[in-house]
Amino acid sequence: MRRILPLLGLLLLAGLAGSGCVMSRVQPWERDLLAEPEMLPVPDPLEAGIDDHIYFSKETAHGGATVGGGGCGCN
Amino acid sequence: MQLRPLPRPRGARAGHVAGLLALAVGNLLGREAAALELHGVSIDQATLFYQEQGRIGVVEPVVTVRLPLPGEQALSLHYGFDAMSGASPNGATPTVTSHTYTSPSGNSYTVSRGELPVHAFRDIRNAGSVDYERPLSRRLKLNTGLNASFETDYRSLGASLSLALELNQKLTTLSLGLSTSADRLRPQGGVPVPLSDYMLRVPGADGANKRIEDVLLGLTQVMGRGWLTQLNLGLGRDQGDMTDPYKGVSLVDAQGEPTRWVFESRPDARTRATLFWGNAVHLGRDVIHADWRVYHDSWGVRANTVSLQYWLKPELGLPGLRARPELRFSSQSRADFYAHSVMRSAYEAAPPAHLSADSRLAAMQSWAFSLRVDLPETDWGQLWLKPMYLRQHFSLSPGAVGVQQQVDLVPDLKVWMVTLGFRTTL
Repeated sequence: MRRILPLLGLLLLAGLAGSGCVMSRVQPWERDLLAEPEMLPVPDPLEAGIDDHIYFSKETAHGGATVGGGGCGCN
Repeated sequence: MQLRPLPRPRGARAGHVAGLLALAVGNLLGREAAALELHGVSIDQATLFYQEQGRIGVVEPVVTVRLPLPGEQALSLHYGFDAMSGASPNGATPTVTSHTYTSPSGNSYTVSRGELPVHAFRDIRNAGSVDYERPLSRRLKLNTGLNASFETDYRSLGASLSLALELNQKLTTLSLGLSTSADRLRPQGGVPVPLSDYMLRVPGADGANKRIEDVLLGLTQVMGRGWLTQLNLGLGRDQGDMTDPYKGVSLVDAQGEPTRWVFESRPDARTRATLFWGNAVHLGRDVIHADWRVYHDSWGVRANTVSLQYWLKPELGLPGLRARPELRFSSQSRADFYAHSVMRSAYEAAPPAHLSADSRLAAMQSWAFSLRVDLPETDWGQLWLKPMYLRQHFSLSPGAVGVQQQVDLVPDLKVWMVTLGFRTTL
């Protein structure tokens, strides 16, 4: 499975690129969709913090999306 | 101190809260608070109810208050409280006979045949942070933070700083993040001597220190009208005592029966690297988030993690109503020094420098599924609810010998969670 996941990631990239989401110069008046709250990289930081704490306490791998946050003796 | 008149509050209680916040911020920021505008102060609250099957339960309420300040500045205050209780694995291996163990506090407990050895556990954690953000120029933004966390036997003090530079008519953002924390561990019964006999409990130091440093380099790019992509490279270094003071490792005879139990031992340094690729894609009404993270550290752990979120926004004329199923999968290899148990003869002939039976260092596959539902917005705010299920399956390393084949040496972990959240803007 560990070997399959990188391939899935590359497929995801290819799928996104091929789905019409090609890189284009978006003008300021075309950013209505980008301005929606769900389009933020982290739409709900409070929820993301709770989830990060759960995974940090149960897995060795952690981090990657943001820096900071409170320390914990749980792992 | 002069404050502008408050905007019309949504009730006496909201007005009272706003007044207290104004006073608190005024005290913190002095004269700058003279121009404070409380309109737009947001309060996010959530409570997590977490229960592992047969193990630990946690109730964790958290709250974040974000106060917008003049000049596009903002101050965020965060507080979280964890109440943890239940049973935590002590690292010993399950076997076909019952065994008696001694906890760090000196209490004895007996584990039945075939059961995973666990010790009773109870603790609380108080954690808080303050974050301050401000623009340094038209394109450059600064975010700094301080955080602290306190448990009965653990204390963590940390700081973070991040800079974000907007380029290319705000279509590109480069970011740099730095964080550090200084942690202090004071376990019950003192810090154990690594690989010493658990039952004899050789007295060690009262406490130990750990230092954690992280750097994150990020690129966020608008790829199209409805596609935002983010690429982060993270590097981290941990130094100090990372051995779990409550976990041991079983030494077994040729039949697989445990005959000795020693404290675990972990290296006192670790470097980590992560590559994170996140995407948000707008489908016209709904939004998909697809993230992928690769992790590698100097303990030999490699991990791949993918998550998919689908924000479903039904057009029912109810503002704020939305649902979001999420699927997350993570696959992790084992740390170089992980073993669920060790053959005693081999151990005593050549003791390893490091050894741990903590299943979090084992090769594992982890699945999580959740469904978040945001109820329609009201004058008071918005409620959301998220049930979630997490299951971890561990690979056996090394293979079972003798009687070990009759028991589940590293049973799956099953966790049920529910998070209830509420947000409001004054």
